Amino acid sequence: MGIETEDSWEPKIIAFLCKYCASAGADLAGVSRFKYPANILPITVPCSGSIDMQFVVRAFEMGADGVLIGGCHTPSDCHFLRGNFKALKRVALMKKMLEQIGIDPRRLRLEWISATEGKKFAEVAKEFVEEIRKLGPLGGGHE
Amino acid sequence: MNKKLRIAIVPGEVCGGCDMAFVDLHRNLIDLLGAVDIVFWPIATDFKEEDVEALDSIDIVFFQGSIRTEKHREIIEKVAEKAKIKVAFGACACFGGVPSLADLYALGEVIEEVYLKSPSTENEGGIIPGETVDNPYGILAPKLVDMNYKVDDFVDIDIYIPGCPPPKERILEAVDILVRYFEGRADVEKGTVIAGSRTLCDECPREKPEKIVIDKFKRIHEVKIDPNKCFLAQGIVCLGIVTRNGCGLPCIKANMPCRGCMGPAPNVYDVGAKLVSAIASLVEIENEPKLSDEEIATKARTIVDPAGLFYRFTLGLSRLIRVVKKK
Amino acid sequence: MSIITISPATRLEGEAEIRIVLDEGGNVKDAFFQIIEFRGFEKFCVGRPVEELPRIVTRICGVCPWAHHMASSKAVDMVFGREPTIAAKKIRELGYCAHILDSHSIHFYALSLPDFALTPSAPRRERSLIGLYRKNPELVKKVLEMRDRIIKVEEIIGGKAIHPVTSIPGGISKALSKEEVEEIRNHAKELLKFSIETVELFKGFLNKEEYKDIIFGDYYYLETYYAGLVDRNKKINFYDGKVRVVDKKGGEVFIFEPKDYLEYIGEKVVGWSYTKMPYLKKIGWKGLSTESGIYRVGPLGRLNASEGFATEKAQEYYEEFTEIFGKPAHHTMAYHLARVIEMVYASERMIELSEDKDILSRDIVNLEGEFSGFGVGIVEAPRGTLIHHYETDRHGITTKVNLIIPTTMNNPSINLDIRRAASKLIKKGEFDDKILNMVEMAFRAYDPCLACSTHNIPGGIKVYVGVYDSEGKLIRIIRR
Ligand code: SF4
Ligand code: SF4
Ligand code: SF4
Ligand code: FES
Repeated sequence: MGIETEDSWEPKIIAFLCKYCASAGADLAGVSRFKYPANILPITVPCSGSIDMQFVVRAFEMGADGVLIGGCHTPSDCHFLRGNFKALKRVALMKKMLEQIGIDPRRLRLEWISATEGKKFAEVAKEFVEEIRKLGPLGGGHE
Repeated sequence: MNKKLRIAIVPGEVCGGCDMAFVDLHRNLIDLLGAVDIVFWPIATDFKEEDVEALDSIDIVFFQGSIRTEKHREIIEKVAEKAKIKVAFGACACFGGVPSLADLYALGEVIEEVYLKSPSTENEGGIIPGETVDNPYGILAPKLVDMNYKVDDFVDIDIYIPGCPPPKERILEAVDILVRYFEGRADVEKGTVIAGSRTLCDECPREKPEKIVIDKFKRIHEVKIDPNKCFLAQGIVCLGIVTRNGCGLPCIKANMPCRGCMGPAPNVYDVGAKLVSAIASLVEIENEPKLSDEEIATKARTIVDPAGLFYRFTLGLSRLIRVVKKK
Repeated sequence: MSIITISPATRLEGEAEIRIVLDEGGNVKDAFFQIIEFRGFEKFCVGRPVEELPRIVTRICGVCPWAHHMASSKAVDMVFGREPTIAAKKIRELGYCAHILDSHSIHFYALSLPDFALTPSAPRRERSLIGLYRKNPELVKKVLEMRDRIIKVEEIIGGKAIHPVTSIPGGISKALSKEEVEEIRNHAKELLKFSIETVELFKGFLNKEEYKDIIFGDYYYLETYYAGLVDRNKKINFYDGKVRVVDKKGGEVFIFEPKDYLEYIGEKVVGWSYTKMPYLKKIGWKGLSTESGIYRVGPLGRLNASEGFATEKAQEYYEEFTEIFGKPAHHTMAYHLARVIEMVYASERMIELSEDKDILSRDIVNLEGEFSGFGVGIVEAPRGTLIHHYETDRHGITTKVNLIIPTTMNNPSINLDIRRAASKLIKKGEFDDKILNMVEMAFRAYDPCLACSTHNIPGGIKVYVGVYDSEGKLIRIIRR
């Protein structure tokens, strides 16, 4: 991801998006011209419940400054019934653990975004990029 | 065998438990002493470093403990060069062990706590060992390194023997493999772990319900622990689900949950993150669909100390710690 | 012996170092015993749920993990305001007595006896348990057989012999079965015989001409205060009681409850060691000398600070001990005899407890109590009084940990003893391997557990002796 000086640093965000909702929402944002920042690298997954927190670790390790997880709304939108509940419990616990390890928990974010919420996706994305920008690059000490 | 095997046992930052595990081999130790030459072992012998320096080769070295000072690193690197087979012995050498928990804090904070803030300490001068000279001879304690490292951060390891300390049966198994290797009767694949290849849960005799449903996670002092039922099913976190089997389950049998000293089971990328995922998928919170998102999150967070619990013995392996510490 | 001359700029670094400073005439001007390891349990226990600490702090020391497990459990009982059930207390004490035997027997046979049985001037390759095995295989086999029994008892009660796991707030996680208690009793009876043999073995050295100087001479002699845990009758107890302190004449100066320890004990920080200098606050600190409230703990501290033992055979030996060394005994080498006498007590107490009917009770944990968030647990570790002090927030998450470790308590005395031994042994800059080993014997008597005090290699400390001229210029390093 290149060498950068403090001025040229841009937040890098990986987004794991459920194919049935958030990912479709992101596509919709694209076709409806709701602009969202290029800092976000979207990865489509079958369900938010299939996101192992080890993926999040890998993302941070590869240089991501923030990780966004997008799933279908609770309680009943998930195609695999309870996948989103799994994601919810995982993220809650993972944030707690990140904080203890010295990583600001705001760097991991969970959002429910349906296939029709293109606008919401664009807004979340923009907001998250700004939040991470304020936090600065990851690494270099306990946060 | 025409020649006795030359063995060195080299400590880094240790508690002494790994040494004791060797001593406790007892009769087997005596047999072993008949078959090998111990060329370096500080707890039981008066050998000094220069004896190691004088040796031209060592067949097997057992590294114990983690690496906390430059001195530890120097010695293990020196010995590693001379050794044919390098073994990481014990959780500290393999994964950083309990002392790695110190890396949840910055080093300066740790020092401050011990020498300035402890309630029985009187330190008007603000003396910090290793920094403040307070005698006419300029004598000072040496400085520490930035992090608690596992051994393979510095040298290549052929065999890992996990456990805190490693169980007797596994030590003997390792010795057996090594003896056969040097007799040309067995191969040693680099990175071999002397333990099982499954998880503790796979051999745990406790009753497990088909589906685990709990109200919230509990701490060990909050309940009377049922000696026959799976800990997780009682809401108590047990690390058996991601921990490598092979210890013989002494804790589980003593009615205490596993804390993971045998290290991660095969195919675990990051122990803490894996546990977060595994626990959330195994354990369902009662009435989940009827609760609000915040209520569910709160119940998941009833695991009070995920970092200290999940990485109890393996923080030195944590990839996240390395992300935090990278410059 | 190899003497290595290294330019003064070279860093001197080991796990423990003795630094001896000579004056112009080559005589000893000053000496430091420096422990340089550091691990910081006080900090990283913060943030952990307090009930988990008994399983974390064991890793301070793998030679005496039980002492930390016990002190920690007692502190945690207090944090939760839970009095352990009678059965739980007795089971803990039973396991703990086995541990005293474990630690004392390994220290005596593997670390001390070689100095005596093989003499201090034996070649250093021979000065070990392995050397002892070559000389007397039957004895070593016997020792190992006894240790198998000890470990069995520890495993039954603690789950694991090294790093036990069973003590929980208000009790213990696992009850004992009839068969288990039976087995423990059988082991205990054998261990008593073995302990008595051990005392007799050591007593044999007392009359030997070549050890007179070492044991009764003035190389190893220090007049200090002494401290130890005692029961209601001022008899030694390893698991529970009040801390009693006696002065240089053996008179009681105070006796206090564990929770009040901060009123009595302070610790000074020095820049040349990671180990602090504890002292008695009410006596005061006047620098590193016996003028300060320096006190000794461990076998010698306990025998001096108590009225002996509550069991028969141990008490008999205690009386013999006071006849030999006086009371209080200031001879540092008396530590060795005191230590083996304690093995006799521990075995006798194990027999007593294994015959107690409470030990079979199923009522092993008390879940009731009023949470206070503050706890102090004190036990007698093999090496002396051990203090664990915890504070927590209202959820029982640890916010403060203070640990005072026996080897740390003995640290000022070890320093003084080494200074004394060095000044008596090194004259006009002359010394050899034997003399340096004799300097080391001064601290070996304490069974210092650097593993505990900061923590590092127990007993088998690598010692570097650095010799400095009067300007503080390093003139020689001797790696020992
Ligand atoms: S692995 Fe365990 S027993 Fe071995 S040195 Fe580390 S803490 Fe001690
Ligand atoms: S979680 Fe623990 S108690 Fe449950 S089956 Fe696995 S190892 Fe056994
Ligand atoms: S049960 Fe768990 S903590 Fe206990 S010895 Fe086995 S792996 Fe280690
Ligand atoms: S299918 Fe979208 S979260 Fe499960």
